[in-house]
Amino acid sequence: MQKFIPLLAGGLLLAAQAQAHHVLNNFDIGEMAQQADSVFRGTVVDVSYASSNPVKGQGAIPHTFVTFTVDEVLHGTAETDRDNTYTLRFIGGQNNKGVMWVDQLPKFNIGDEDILFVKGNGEAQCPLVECANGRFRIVDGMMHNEYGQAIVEDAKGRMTLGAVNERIKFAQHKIGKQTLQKRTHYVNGFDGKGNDVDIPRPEAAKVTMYDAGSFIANSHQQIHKKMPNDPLGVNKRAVNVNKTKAFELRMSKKAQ
Amino acid sequence: MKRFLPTMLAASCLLAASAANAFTTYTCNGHDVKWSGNSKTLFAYLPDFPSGSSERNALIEAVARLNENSSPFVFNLVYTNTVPSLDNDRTEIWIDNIAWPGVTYTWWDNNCNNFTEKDIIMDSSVSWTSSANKYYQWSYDDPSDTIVAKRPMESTILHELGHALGLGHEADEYNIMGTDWNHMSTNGNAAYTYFGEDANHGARYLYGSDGTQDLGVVHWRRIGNNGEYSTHGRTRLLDPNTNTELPFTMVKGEPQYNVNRGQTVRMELTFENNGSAYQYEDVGYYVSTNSYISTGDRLLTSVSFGQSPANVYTRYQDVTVPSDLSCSKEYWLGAKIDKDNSLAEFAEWNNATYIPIKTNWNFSCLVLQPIIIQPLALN
Repeated sequence: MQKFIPLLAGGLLLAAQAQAHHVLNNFDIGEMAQQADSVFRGTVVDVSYASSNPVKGQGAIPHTFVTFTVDEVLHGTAETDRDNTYTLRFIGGQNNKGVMWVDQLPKFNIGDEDILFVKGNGEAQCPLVECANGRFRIVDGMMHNEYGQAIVEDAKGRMTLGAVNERIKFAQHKIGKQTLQKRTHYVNGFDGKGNDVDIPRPEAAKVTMYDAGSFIANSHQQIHKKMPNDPLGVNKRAVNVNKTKAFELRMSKKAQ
Repeated sequence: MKRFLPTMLAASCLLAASAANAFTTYTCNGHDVKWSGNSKTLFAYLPDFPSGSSERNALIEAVARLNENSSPFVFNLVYTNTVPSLDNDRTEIWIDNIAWPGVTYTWWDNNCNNFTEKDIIMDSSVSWTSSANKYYQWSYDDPSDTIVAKRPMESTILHELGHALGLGHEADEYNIMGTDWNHMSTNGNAAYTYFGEDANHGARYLYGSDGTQDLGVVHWRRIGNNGEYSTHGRTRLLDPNTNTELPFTMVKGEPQYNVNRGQTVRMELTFENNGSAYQYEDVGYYVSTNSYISTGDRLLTSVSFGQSPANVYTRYQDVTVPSDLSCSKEYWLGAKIDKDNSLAEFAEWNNATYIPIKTNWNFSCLVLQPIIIQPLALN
């Protein structure tokens, strides 16, 4: 039986206020799984950095290797190491000059617990379906997307995106010795006469959030509905990457 | 199963408060990360942006829009045949086959204070347009014409330039760092991308103010978000009694509202103060026989209100559709800010916009002609 946990979202005043005029976004887990090489639940146990080998016209580029213990596979196969770990490679990271950063990419910290839709690991700059959209975060047992938006159920029973948990959205992110953080800047309203005013706070909103168990159960249903003949993705495999093995980044026709 | 439904607040007041979150930046070890100076050379790869090409036109316009920002920061555009690459200590833009429509790669130094390089790559597989004719753009796609509407390259480059300046994505305001292709200033058939209030605010936060001023009004608003990106939709015409949207028909790719002569309607438009200082300005609301709103159109009402340069302002104004308009005819309601041209602005082309309407036919349209009875002449 699906289990949903009601949450008072009104504690997140600013987020709830924004939600008052949000159009909530639906997403198709079955479609995302169909695109994926593998879908699994895992926990980040290591984040390390290495640069690509230089190629003609392109120097060494920092990359981030994020290693997960694989706790549960929902679809396809993740080719784990003997210790049941699986490593994803993303462009960006650090080298001796500093930090390379791409806004669109998901950011991982050790201990993060995620459900990942893996696609093109070892080839794509961002080896997830729709990049950051292919990562769902489990925080305090509840499901969120990369940006801290709660996964909630809409009036038609569909998975959709709800209010932002700003603790997740603006969490600190370590890259080596540097601590990076996205910073939002708040503004007051104004009364049309030049005076700043406090924006009216809405009443506490009650939404139905997905916990990890109900999300996984619902995902199984959606995957089965989308791919009734192969819900397990028997022949789909997400290749692992070896953190110590040299690699090249051929991202550009200009680097050929 | 017990269900809980979100409680929504009705925006019933005329002065609608916008979301409280604004632009985003990045910190490293607690410091804001930005460029060390107020200008940076942007090297454009000449084979991708040849003279006279639509790609170059889009790039020139996008850099011009960025450089209009109300901080002193500018990009100096230089064309080069030097092959671009990542991590070469040059800030570059080129076109290639990539996974995103556009992407910006950022480097900063180990001191954690300053950018050292930004590289922007635009995707060669996207169908781009550099036309300012709105019918060539996604946001105004007219299914009844033969024009293939495309994504405006200028707006996506401007979004990436926002990253290059130091801004992150923003979901909680109508802004260019959200969805870029419908962040447009449109009057008549011309639709231009622009940096906007929120991004200008962010530029001033990072680099200070240059003292320039600009006001604008558009028929777009924030309607939600997709991940880190705000999503935008058209502003509406509402029933003042119920605050619900009036019935409309899609005509030439735009909502055309069906109204009665003499009906009071509530116009929703988004006003922005893109400049450095608070402004208190007159706004004229007009009805026009075409989609280009100007002070030569028929003035319906004039109001004054203040605009902070720190919040996007989607505002509502009740106006009455004149009773002497023709029946079953297209008109355009519109607004023009700084209608008396009293403020010197860095952009004057973004001061007016429209909402299409069509007057309904009803019995008030019947005009009874007096019947003149001629006396019968008898011989």
